[in-house]
Amino acid sequence: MRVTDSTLFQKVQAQLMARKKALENASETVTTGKKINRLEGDPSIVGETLRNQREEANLERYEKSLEGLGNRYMSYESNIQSTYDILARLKSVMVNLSNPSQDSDARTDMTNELEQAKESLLALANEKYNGQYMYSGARTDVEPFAPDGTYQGDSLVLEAEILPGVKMEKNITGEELFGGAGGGQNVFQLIDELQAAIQSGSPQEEIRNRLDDMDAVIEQTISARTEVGVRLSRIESSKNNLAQLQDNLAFKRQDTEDADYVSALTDYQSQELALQASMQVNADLLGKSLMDFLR
Amino acid sequence: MASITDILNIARSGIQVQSKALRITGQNVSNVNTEGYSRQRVDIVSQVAAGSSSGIGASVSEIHRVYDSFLEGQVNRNLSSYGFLEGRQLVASNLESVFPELGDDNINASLSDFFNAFRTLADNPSGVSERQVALNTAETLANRFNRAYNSLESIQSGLNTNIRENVSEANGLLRELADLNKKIATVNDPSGESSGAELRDRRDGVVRQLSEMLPISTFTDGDGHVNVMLDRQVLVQGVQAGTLTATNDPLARVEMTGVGGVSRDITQYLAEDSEDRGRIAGMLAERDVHIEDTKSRLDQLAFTLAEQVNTLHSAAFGLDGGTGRNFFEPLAAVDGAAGRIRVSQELLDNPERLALAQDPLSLDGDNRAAMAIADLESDDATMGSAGFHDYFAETIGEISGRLSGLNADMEYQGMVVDQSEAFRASVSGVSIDEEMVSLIQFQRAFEASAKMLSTVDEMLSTVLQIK
Repeated sequence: MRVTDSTLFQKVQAQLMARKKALENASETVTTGKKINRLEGDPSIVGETLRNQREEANLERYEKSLEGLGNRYMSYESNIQSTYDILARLKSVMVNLSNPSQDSDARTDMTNELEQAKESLLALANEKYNGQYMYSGARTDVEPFAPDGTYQGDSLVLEAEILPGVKMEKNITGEELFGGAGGGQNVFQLIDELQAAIQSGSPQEEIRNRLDDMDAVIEQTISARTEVGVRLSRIESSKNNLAQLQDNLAFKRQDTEDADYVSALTDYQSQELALQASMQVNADLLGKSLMDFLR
Repeated sequence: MASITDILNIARSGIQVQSKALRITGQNVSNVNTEGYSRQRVDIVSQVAAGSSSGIGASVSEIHRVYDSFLEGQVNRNLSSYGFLEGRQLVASNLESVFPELGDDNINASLSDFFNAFRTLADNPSGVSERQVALNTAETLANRFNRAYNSLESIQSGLNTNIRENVSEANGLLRELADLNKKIATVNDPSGESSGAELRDRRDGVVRQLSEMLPISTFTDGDGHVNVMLDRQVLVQGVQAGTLTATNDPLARVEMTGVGGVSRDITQYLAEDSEDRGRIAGMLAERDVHIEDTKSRLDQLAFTLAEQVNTLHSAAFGLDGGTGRNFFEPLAAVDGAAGRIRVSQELLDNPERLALAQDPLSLDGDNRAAMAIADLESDDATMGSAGFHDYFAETIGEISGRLSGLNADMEYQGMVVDQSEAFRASVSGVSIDEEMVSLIQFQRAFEASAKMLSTVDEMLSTVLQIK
């Protein structure tokens, strides 16, 4: 095959361009630290990157949801604890009073005590978290309990998403805890009854008869507190789960999207060497001509 | 018995022939870098006197182009394939900027933001600022759909302009080809100054340019005319040329009027995804097949998203107790949905009307509709066999695959073209070294012929000195 000048020049040109392009690609990988920098790169990495982007955004969101839920249940916990304390104190007063040796002073004390307890319990049952009533189900703008103890909320238990595809309850309704729905005892009615009992002819006996009811109410708070504890520990373990997912995602992103610096740099250097070698050979080749030998 | 004047004539023919050969060598050397130039050769024959067998010198019988029509045809066919890819490649970098999916500001991220905003709303359904944020992210999502769709349309209209330009360039080339056919037919002096070699080179160049644009085939008829066929119709016959027309449609169609005067639409024929149909076909394929496909996928996504969110939203209740409202302005048709998707103006003006509750009696805290909308994100069947994100990722994956395939094809086809051009050049190209050897060869012959002349001169004076 004849070798002509134009083919020779074209070939040299094409070779140098190809080498330069390869060098440029290698340098882009090194400077951005990413395996691909344009859609025309590996389509499977593009797809993986999009999935990772989405997962990252969701995990960030779950982190906030868990944080919010955690704080929420902490206030449920302290609220229920206070409720329990008040009820426990009331019970001890009741036990004291049911003792026949008590006099009328104790009755006055009990009257005051009941008055205060009712007020505090009502305040606890109508407590707000973030400006919304904690115990009224989804009806968060309505006071859950009227002063006579009627429940005015609804029985909706709402959910929040805490992990991919995992949901958990975000509220406790006051219907059972304070209202005694489902065979329990309404706290406010009990207090009303206790107040009536004290005014009755045989307060000791009447109050002793109410001790079981008081136990039932205390039982309600204990079971609610247990439930909150279970949920808090679920939030805690979900947070750990989430951290694990985030770690995995970070690893996955590194694995699929990030360039390996060692091989990227090696690649860059070998491309550089190839370009230099190609330039040297070509300069030598193009310099050769019969003209040099004709005088 | 040869006379001295016969020898004189032989020496003269030698000088003439060698200087003509030197002229051609000079022509070759000066065109060493001329694109499409075929080197020329002089064919020298010895001359014999009429009626006798004795030689009377040399003459140039023909100056011919060194040329191989098979290799030329191969270059042209490869150029059609390369041109097709080139036409498609035009939009590659534009597509890249329509979908900055490897960065952060993209439809994929906006989709996540949109659904996450509803998760935030589920945490606090009556929060005014949360509602505002959710509406803003929805607006961003709609804007990104609109922008991508509009960019795709403007790529299409840019291609339109390009197609028109190419069609008128092709028409110019078709006319030029017919003109050259005419001129070459009038040149019939194979050994003289105008052998027509340069005109033939130019005609080959025109055919080459046409091949890069259109899937033409050519054949040379008995008169030496190069005729052009396109999709089984004659487009150039001898000195007559047909025309191509780009219509005024929003997406211009390409029509062909053959030499016979018959017009027909060849858009479909060109745009069919066959790899060897030239640059115009490449642009048509990108415009009518690939970009159209991407657009319709975006439309499908935008339409389904709006429809499903609207269904859930209109069944739910706003803080004001109102229901039956759309979240996105309703879209009449799938076609163009991505360009028209908007968040309901009513909601943007009144964020409290954003409907998140299922129970009209528990408007303040009921988050079930918000949760239901957020759950659309993880539903794997919203788009038939895929969820929103996966469907979008498929769309992007398709573009990505197309672009990377295109790059690989370009690289390969570029090599094939280079190779076939090298083959052609190995026959037709000029080699300086070779020409230098010829230069010396003809120069020496010229010197020898001149020496002959002076010898004959001496002979004549010898004769004349005889007393």
